[in-house]
Amino acid sequence: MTEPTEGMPRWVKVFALVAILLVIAFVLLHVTGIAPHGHG
Amino acid sequence: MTPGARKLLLTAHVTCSVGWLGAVAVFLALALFGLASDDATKVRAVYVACDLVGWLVIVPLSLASLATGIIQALVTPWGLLRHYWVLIKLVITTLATAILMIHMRPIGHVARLAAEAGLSSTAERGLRIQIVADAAMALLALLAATTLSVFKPRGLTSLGRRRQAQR
Repeated sequence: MTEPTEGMPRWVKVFALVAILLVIAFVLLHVTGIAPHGHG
Repeated sequence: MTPGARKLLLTAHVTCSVGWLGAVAVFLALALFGLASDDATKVRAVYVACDLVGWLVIVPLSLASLATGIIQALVTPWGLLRHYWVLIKLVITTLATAILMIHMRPIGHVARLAAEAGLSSTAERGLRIQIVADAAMALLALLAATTLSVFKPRGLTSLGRRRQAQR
């Protein structure tokens, strides 16, 4: 398996950006009033 | 490890991972129905089913997918931390499994209310929206992991580059 030896590929950066946006959306979902309260 | 054993392990990993994806799709369909329906009896049945599908299918498949994926990476030349696509799949699977474990609690809460006939079609709406959103995000994450497995995009991590240079 011969692979190019440059730094982080562009697809990884795009993937990371999308993942960060999704994590932010996930966190916002949990702090904006539609998170579970008072159960368990 | 013999080629036959490797193929058996790969079969187990693919089965668990794709089965997990399918089970989450079923869970999402049930959660959407539970959120949208006005029929309280059906809504209660749906959340009891969600809890069962979660504990009996989704949780075991997620743990099996994580375990077989780690073993698969370690016994093949791909390695666990050498290629970005393997590393990202590991992160997705680990995070999805951890978040799933955390979210089985609110699902259990809604299922208990449903089993005790204390859940109307409008009760716990915020929690039910959250269950739908979590299932949708899990489905997206698992689709991304499946796509990575099929395409195996190029890209070595710094560890992978060091290992390649040593050879």
